[in-house]
Amino acid sequence: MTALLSVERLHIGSGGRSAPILDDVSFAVSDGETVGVLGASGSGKTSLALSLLGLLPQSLETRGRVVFDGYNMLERAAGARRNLRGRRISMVFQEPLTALNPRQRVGAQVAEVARAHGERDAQKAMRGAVDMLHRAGLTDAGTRALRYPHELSGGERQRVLLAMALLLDPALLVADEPTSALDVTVQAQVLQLLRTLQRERGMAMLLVSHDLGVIATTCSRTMVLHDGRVVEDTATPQLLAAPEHPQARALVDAVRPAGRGA
Amino acid sequence: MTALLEVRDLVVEYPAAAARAVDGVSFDIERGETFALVGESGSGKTSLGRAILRLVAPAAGRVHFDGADVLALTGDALRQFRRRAQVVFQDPKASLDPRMRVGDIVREGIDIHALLQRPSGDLRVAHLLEEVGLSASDASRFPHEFSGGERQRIAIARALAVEPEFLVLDEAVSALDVLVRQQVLDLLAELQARRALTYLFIAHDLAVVERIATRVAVMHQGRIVECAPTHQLFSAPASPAAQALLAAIPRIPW
Repeated sequence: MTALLSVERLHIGSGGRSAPILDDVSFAVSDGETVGVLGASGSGKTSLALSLLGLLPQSLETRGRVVFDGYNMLERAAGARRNLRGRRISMVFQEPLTALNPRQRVGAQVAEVARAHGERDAQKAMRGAVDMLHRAGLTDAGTRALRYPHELSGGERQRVLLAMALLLDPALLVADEPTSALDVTVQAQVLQLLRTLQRERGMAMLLVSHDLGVIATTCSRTMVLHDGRVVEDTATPQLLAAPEHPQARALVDAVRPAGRGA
Repeated sequence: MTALLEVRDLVVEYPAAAARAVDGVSFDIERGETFALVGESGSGKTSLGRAILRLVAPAAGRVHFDGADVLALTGDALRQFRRRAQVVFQDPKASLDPRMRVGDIVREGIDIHALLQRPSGDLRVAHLLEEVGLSASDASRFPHEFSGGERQRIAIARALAVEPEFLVLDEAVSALDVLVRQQVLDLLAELQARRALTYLFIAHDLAVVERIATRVAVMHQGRIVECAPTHQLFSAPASPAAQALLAAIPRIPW
């Protein structure tokens, strides 16, 4: 099995004043693999996710390699990186309201992904967008595509983000707390949708969350991040049964029902 | 023993909305219990909490607190009610004044209710900060210097400063990550035991209330559709709304 994504000794400094944001992080993700990144607030999860797409500020001191599709995402020219983003590697963010343009109809925002990657036919791009919104579970997608972000609920907005991320059938989806801002019932629907789309497409997924429940029901493998370091990287059932690192143990124990000792 | 809080046929309406936010809700909360109110966004739980505290005016119904008709209170009696019933909101970033020092935030209620003079007031603030797991020296710092969990501890200290008997915790741990959430829930349980507090715990996530609540009421479209002891609601939910909330909890394959 070849690695789709390979992160090698990734180090992201914070300017020398405090501990590094990421410290010697190494891991690989294979085609079609679902990997969870579990960590508390401030553990470096979001920085890790952003670095995979080359979205971290240039001003941060960065060492190591993020190899995706055989190219180092940290070194490639911005244009080449943009060509990969959205097409081969995509991201879904936590807060769909801030991730969407408030002044553009959601259908047009999804269609723009196709346009940015070379689709010249505007009508065809829009048809593709509506179709993808429909597959992302947006009811009445044809009408809803004409709405602005603020006219949709949080769950609907997250479906729009998913449609944008999945439109071009990427090989890897990076999802950063995709359901943390949602109601539990909506969270369950969006997670189910993520799992279904991931399976249908054989897409690899890196799911970032502080919530073990979200990760354990979605990912076959889990990495635990603590103070910028990967302190545990193991099959999810193994983590649930016998977390080794104290931080991993704390995160598991926080959601373990009473009477289920490790 | 009579209930600390009695709510009868309470209705909350907002002028612009077609449906009632709270549509004829009745329940009692006994002294010392943790009564959880759960439901999806828009089910009316926050409106209900606010109506009980008289932060919004109900269109109809009755609220009795320790035997007194809350909706009829005026003057000193209303001030006393506002001291005895406190609230902690979801987002401590928004509910703490960014330009006030923590010590002043915590002691504002003490001053408003003229409970203590300056030196003993300062001592009370120091004790409160320590009681919620912060340090007395934190009084001179500003809210932005604290993490989300610490800010929620400040909000709890502020609520406790006026020696309340009843706390409305409106999604008080929803914005916190699981580890911090657990710590704040532990703190709330500890404070409840020490101070004989009664909690109305509002949450959209059933998983959060399982460990803390004695009883759970499920709200749906402005009504309470089910109310049961916590273990009973979790083992045998009767209403579709409760079943949906339970089904939404990610089932970890232990």
